[in-house]
Amino acid sequence: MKKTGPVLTGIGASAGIAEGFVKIVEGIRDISKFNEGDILVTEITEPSMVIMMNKAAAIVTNLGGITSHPAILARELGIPCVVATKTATTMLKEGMKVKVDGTKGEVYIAEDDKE
Amino acid sequence: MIKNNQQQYPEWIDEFARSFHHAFKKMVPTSWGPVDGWALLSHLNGSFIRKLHQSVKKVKEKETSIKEVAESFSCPSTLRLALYFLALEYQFQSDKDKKQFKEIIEFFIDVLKEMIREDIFAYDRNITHTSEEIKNIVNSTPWIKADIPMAKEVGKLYSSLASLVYAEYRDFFPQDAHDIYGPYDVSSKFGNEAILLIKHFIKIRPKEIWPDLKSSYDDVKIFQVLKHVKFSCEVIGMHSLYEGDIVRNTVALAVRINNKFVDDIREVGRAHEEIARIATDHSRVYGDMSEAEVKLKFLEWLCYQFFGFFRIANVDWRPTQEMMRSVKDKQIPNRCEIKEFPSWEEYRSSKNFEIFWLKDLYHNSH
Repeated sequence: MKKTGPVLTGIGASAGIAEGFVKIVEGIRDISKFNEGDILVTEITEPSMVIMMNKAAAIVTNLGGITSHPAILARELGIPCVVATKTATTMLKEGMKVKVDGTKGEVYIAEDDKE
Repeated sequence: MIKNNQQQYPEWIDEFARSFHHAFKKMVPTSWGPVDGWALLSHLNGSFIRKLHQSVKKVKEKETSIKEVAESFSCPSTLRLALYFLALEYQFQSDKDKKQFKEIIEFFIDVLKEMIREDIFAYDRNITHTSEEIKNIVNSTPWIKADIPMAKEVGKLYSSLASLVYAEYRDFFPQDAHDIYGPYDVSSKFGNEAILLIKHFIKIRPKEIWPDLKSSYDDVKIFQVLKHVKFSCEVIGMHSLYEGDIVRNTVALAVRINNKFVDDIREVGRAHEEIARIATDHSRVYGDMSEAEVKLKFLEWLCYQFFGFFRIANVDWRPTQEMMRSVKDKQIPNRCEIKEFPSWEEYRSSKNFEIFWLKDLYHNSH
């Protein structure tokens, strides 16, 4: 079987691997659609996203460095995080099932990739 | 004193440069807001320096002890960053008063030395407690034997508190309410390779700058013992970096909320949910703020770092009219325009950065 590479790469900011459904978020109005275990995907996290961050299985952002808000919080939460991907919010689609590898800084499309 | 070519200057300036460069080169300033703080500071033209100098003189006249001054700050990271912002303001000041600025800086370096046990600019650790103090903490704290569910709930508590602080102080000033102390060796009590981190959230109900904030949380401390985890931080103590999974490797915990220890996982859960709601609600305020209000808020944050110190000096902590006039008509972007930090060589020697001007304080050519 052909092994496909990552669909996205960035800085691995918090180690671990998690799978879940992508939710592209911008702020408070996205709270109601975010479920426990979803993958939080955003430009850069804001304080308004904390309820979602506390439910997320992983966090993926376009911007940020190793000591940015998403990176620090993901490490404290013990969940994988990939920052500085530049294009997470455009390359990943709502409801897509992905695997986030926070150790390597890579995001893959998972099998059974639809919610 | 360091002697470099014709110049002599105190060692702390090299330590300052080393620690700030080490921290900032990892950061990505272009996402920082709600205003470009670097640009704003460059317009102050000594107005905050003059306000501080007045207070330093008053405190010296009163003969207030350095210890009392040190205790007036929320944490060491506040003072470290406050000194950085002062150095930036001085760098851009058109009519520099060397003697005045040197007096301020040397005074607060002495205060920082009172607060920190080793490495005052925290290159990779933030040691504020003596070994005797740590021994007392270890022996008197009501420890909970940590399991994964409890460690996860405490992780969420941390996340909620950090987000509340971020909502209240945004990108330039969260260290005024949040610091991490350690790592401390606690292997004698908890076994080989055990370290203690003390995660402190203070000034989290800053009613002076946010009078409408509805919160009952004043002070939270998380005492976390980890094994087989390597911890480091930066000049900003809450910029924590770990090697190893902290949720799975937490062996003991204690959580103190408003001076009361909490050992029930449900109570920790209720706290993090409530704090997350407060953070979410408070984050809305920025959407309604005008450009003038954002500038004023930045000046308030800048002054609020010294809130306790101004109280000792019996000086109004709020921004002066001179400070407000200095930024009023200036076009300041709402996000940082600096894309990356300079190289080490450039940072420590170029006139375009604050290190040159700190060293220049000790240059006697004029």
